[in-house]
Amino acid sequence: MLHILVSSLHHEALPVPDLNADFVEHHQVVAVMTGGTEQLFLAKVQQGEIDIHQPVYLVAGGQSNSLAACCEILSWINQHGGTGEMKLVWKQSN
Amino acid sequence: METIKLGVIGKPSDWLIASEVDYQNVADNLGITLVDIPIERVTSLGEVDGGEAGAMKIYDRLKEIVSEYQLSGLTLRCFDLLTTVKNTGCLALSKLNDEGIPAACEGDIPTLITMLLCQRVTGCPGFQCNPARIADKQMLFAHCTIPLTMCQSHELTTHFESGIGVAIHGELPIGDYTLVKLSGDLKRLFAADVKLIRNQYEPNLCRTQVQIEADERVIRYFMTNPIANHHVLVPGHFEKQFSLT
Repeated sequence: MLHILVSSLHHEALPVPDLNADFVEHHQVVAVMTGGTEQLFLAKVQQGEIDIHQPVYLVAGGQSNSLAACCEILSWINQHGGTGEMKLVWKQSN
Repeated sequence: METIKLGVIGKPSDWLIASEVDYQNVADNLGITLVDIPIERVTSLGEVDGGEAGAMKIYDRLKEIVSEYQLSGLTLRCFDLLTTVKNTGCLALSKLNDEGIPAACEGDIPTLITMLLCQRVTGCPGFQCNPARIADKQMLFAHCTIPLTMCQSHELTTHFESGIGVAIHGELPIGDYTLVKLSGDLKRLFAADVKLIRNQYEPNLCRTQVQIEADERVIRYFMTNPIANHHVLVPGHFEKQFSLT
């Protein structure tokens, strides 16, 4: 299942990552589009939409503080005995 | 024994979910007293000029607070200023760091303590920054404030997320740096010697942007078990010295 997290802090245009549909169907995938989305992640955990004791794949983009939010979320998952992994998805501009 | 008081102006930003700190633990293990100070001490400024003059009013207010509470450093819940004071804390925090008063953004206490540690170990202020990209053995770090004494050149611009106020695009000297972070529970200290290889300036990122070259161990750390988001970059190679602290 794909969860897309976007914060109200950000208003810039954000490309939705191109993810493998089969992978998304069989895993917990969280596309962290921007910074400031960490509480949205916690809300999904509290509502039972995400189970951190099953692998959580955090998809980081290359702008809008996406990777920064992924690091904070991954750190929280690890602190709480969960299983997380980061996947990097962006086109190189340099 | 030296008394160290650090001010926490406003609570930590809501997004710092992995950056909690037990004040008593910090006092017992580091001898640091954390003092909560209401954000209203700053937001009571009301709306200020949106340029440098307004940013300096925030600086003046923070200096008053430092003096009143006898602080050795502070962290500011700076995003609250965007909607109230209508300017940013970026310039104020930069100037405080240049004056030897570690000052962190977003109410981030572990990063503030890391900045204090960096200052004590290296004698220099540090650059609080977000990891923004990872590719091969390179990483991009960015943030909207930086001590100007770390920069070879700089320009003032607007804050990334809000597009208002005064933020800093700084360009740093190419060369050796150390990337550092202490965890909120004080149990983990990450320190790695890295090389800054390029400055850049792109939209959709915080304004000071530096590309570093890092070894596989650093990349793996960020990809699998980072100590939250913010890290601190200081000039010079000090990994060994940090490992002894």
